[in-house]
Amino acid sequence: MKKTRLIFLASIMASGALLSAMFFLLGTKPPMESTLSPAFQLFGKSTASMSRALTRIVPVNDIDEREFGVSISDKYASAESTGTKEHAYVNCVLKSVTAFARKPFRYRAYVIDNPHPNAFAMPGGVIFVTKKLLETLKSESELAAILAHETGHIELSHCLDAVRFELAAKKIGRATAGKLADLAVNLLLRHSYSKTQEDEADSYAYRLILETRYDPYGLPGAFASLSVSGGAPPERREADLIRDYANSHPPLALRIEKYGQKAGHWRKSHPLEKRYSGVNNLKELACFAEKSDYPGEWMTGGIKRPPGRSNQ
Amino acid sequence: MEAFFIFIIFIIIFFLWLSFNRQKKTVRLLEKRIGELEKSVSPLPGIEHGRDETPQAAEAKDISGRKITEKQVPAKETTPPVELPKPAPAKAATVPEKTAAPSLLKRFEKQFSANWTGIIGAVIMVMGIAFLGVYAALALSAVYRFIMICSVAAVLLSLYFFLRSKPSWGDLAQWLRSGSGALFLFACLGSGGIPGLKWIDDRNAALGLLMAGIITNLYFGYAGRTQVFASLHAVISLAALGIAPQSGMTLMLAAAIALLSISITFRSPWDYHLLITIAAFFTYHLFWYNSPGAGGSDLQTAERVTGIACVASVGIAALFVHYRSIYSDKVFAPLPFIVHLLNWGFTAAGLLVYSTGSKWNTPILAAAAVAAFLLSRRAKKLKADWLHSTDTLIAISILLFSLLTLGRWGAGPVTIALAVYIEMVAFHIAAVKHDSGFLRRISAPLRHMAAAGFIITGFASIDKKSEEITLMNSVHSLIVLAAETLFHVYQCRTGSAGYDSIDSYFTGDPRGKTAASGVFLAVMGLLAYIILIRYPWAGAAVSAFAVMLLVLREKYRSPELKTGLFLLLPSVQLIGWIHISSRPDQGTAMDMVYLVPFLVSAAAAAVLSHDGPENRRATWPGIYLFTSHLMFTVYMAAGPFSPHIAGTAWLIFSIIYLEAAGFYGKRTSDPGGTTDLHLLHAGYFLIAAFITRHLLVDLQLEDYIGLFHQRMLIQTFAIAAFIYWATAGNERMTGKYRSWISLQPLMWELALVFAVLIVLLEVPQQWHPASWVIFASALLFAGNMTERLGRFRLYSVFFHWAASFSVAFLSSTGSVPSDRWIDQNWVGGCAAVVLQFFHVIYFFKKSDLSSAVFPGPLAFLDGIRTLIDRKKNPWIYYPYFASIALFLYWSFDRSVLTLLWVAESFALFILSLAVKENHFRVISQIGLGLCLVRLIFFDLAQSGTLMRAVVFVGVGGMMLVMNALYNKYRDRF
Repeated sequence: MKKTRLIFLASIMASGALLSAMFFLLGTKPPMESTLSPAFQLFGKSTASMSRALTRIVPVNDIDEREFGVSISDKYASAESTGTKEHAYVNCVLKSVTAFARKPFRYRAYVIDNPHPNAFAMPGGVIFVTKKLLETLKSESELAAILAHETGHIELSHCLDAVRFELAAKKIGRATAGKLADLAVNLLLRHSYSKTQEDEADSYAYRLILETRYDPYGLPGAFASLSVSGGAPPERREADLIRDYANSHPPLALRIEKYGQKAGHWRKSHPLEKRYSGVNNLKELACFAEKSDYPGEWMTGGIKRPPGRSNQ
Repeated sequence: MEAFFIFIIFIIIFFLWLSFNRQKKTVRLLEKRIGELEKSVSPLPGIEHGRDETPQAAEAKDISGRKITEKQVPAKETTPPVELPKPAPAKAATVPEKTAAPSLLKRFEKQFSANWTGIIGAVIMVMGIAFLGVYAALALSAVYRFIMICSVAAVLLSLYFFLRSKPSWGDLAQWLRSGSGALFLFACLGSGGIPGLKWIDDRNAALGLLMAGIITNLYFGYAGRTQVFASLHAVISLAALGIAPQSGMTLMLAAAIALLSISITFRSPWDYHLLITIAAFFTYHLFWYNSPGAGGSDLQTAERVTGIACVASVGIAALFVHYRSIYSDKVFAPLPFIVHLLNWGFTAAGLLVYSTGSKWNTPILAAAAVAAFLLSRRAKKLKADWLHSTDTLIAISILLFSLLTLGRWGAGPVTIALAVYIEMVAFHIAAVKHDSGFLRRISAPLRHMAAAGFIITGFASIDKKSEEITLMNSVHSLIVLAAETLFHVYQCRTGSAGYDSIDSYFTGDPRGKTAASGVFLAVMGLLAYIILIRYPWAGAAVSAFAVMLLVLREKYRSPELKTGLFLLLPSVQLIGWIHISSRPDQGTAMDMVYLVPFLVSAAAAAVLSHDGPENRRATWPGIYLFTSHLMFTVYMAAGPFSPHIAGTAWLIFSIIYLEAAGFYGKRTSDPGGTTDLHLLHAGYFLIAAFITRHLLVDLQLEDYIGLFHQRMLIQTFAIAAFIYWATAGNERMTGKYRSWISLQPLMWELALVFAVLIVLLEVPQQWHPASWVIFASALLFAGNMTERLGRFRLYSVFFHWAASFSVAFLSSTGSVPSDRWIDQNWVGGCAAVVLQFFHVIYFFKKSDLSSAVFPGPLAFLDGIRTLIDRKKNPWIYYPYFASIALFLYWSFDRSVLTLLWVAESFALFILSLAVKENHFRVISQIGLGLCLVRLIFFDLAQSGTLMRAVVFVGVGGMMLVMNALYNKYRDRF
């Protein structure tokens, strides 16, 4: 064997041994026994990019999206009560979250009565939050993270992608045909990249939270709160090809792990920086911008284990 | 009276049957004689076939009927006409004129005249006497009636004496004697039991008189010297005894009658008589057993013993009838066989009624089996093969029944199955060694059934909850395992494995190709393992067993063990995996104690890999078994610490396998033939397993080590490993193995995929376009470095397209929640544009796509290569130009767009200078022209004053520089 190759071989063996020793000593374990979700997320990047390109080509823009959003909000503004304390509180939090929004929308949130903890975004800057969500989350930073996530969907044009053909067709008086085209595309392709879009929105939300005064652990904390809201905490699961492909969202366990690690990494590099949690703010429905002197809300230093994971 | 008539009718029927058989025999004898006569008649010349119609036809005539003269007829033809030899004097018939078979009517007439007149005559006379007796009975007392009947019997007997010397009256005389005996017996019977004839009250006296009658009949049967009379008198004697009141004494008397009757058969091979005797005694015994006051299930011990003794004595006596040299016929005779078999059956059935369900039946039956076996040995000495085979099988059957009764001693089904198995193995060994033909043929299926029975019983008896049952089952299974192993060794040493084959069932040849013992060993080993599976040493035990079998196969070159091992090794491994996986709380140390021995057996399978009669070896089963088990062992060992260790370890092993394949490939003598190929394939499998695990498990890993994700370290290590694979050179494999030629080059692609993976996961989206440009340049560089990687030049085009696409559609979209300019997407886009500029120059100068060669699975890319190579401009450069235009359009404000597009045109112009391409210059000028139009119609009209100034200055400045450059480098165009 040539000398170079021998050295190469020895290096690889040593690297492999070191790597194995590192895992052995650190005891690193993934949140799930096995899952195909990250792989589908990766593969979905190509179709997500294609979808994005398609939206670029279709003659719709932010103005069209804004008008669409106005029509939606008009419908809900009249139907739902906008004078509640929850409504005011959520919009107060939303205001601080959307400080970095680029799209020319007036972002507004509506609190709807629904037994499931959920939030969803509509084109044009409209966000819906269920009352149950406010009961499920533990702190204002978690709520901010959820609102940031939904804002991310809008800012990254995920919502626009879903209605592009309808908006384009509306211009020529063929709104129904456009709706049908959107439906067809969504049915055929949506599953392949919906997890990718969720991941992009998570990433946007995390970056946004870092820019605010909220605790970065708010994002993984929100996922943890949602995972336990149905009952048992996330368990280790096996991979399932159909389920992992068909799920529109990545598993909560993975999202908790990912952003818990990121938050911990950020904390390690910013040990002294104070960040606001807002547990009492959520309870009292008084947003951080109005009241930030609750005791024990400012977090600083230490590395928290990602919430929702069992001790190992 | 009814009993009497029934008795008479029975006699008639019996006579009819006997007579029919006799006539049949006679007819056959006659036909045989006629045949012989025909053969002995010498044919006259000219006469080809057929028979002459008359003896006078033997005159010298030719076919046409002309007389043959002396001249024509040879010497022998002048002899007097041939006379048909006279047949033996027939009793009452003459030789028929026609030598055709006598007609049915004539035959019937002859038989009737010869026999039936006598029979019917005697019967009618007896009936007449009976009527006389009836009449006399009404008038006389019982004793006188008795005397009267005896007198008639005496008359008949005297007639016998008178007629027996007459030549034509011999048969009638015999029948008259038999008739007299029957009458006398009837009288004796009636004296003690029939109303109207009964004159003796004392039971014993009546029995004694009856015995006198029976003895008389038996003597007449003996004196008759034919089976007919012997059977007749035996049957009527037993029938008469059956009519008397039943007791133990009557049974003993019946046995005595049967024994006497059987003793007569020692004179000649009287199988019919023997059959009738034992059938009659069996019938009588059944009747006796079911008679009230005699037999029954509540017999006392003495009565039981008496019954057993009687039945056994008759059975044994009948048994020994066939143990004479007159039965040592090579040709199988069905009648003695049937009689012998029926005798066994009758004896067994007769003894069975006395069974009390006692456990002592076991040794008794065993002793009977031994006795039967010894008898069969004697039959072998007598050269009576049929008898030997029959009694051997009987002995086996009795022993089988004996073993089945072991349950009465507390033995479970597995113990009994074990005993039966050992019996059948011993039988098979004995049959193959000492016997031939039938027994040898039947011993194998019996052995197979016993082995299969044990296996099925073993599996059905598994009870994991009971320690006691588990222990017992394990002991049994180990005994069977040892026995089967020793048996197989014996087969190998003696060359008798063919007699244990399964394929002989289908071919009919008693000696087949593949013995069943190999398969049985495997299944039995599996059974033993499943029974013992929960013990920590079970893995070691079954592995040791497998290694032992491997050694045996190596030593004895046994193809059966090859089959068995092929079944055993993968099965125990798989079951072991399932078992270990189902008990996750045992701890790593215990798991390793269990699993590591399987590695030893798998490695042994690769080393001790004899295959076929020559010195050929098949190492591949051992290689793949070892590899799969190694993977599982590492997975289980590392899992509790970190699930990410397993994939890394598999990748390390793949490299070791690659080196091992290279090592074996260099060996000039490799009896395994393709050991290197299988090692290589195992290495590929390890890589595939790593990739699968990486997708399923490692991708979830978000933990950091320093600044990097831990997952990135795995991916980097994987890239290094794939490059090591890709740079492995092996001339032997290149020239020999298709998989090496097809798959080996793809390791480069695999490394590239993982590099892309790192970018997608670790690099922020903003910098992806720049990353793709770097990839494109690096691949182009690598492709130009060595022709072996020529296809990388095409891949660089793909990355160039990806960069262009990202710049155009992705860098200009999406927002970033940050005010810092460095975080903005357009920064990444701009960096990509700049890098791509230099890449395009490099590509233009060094991008010979024509020589790129693709490995097998990627051959379809050659079409794309050809397409691009023909016209690079529309495939490479125009997309780049368009992507910049779109990027600028979607990323920046409309007011600076003209300036930016002019900058692009300027860059294009520089590019045309750098690569000396006129076409680019033309495009840049077209672009510039369009920008000028926009400058006039948009910027002039809509932009603000300051912006307008900036744009105009910028555009003007660039145009001046373009002009200066053009004039300076005019000669390049």
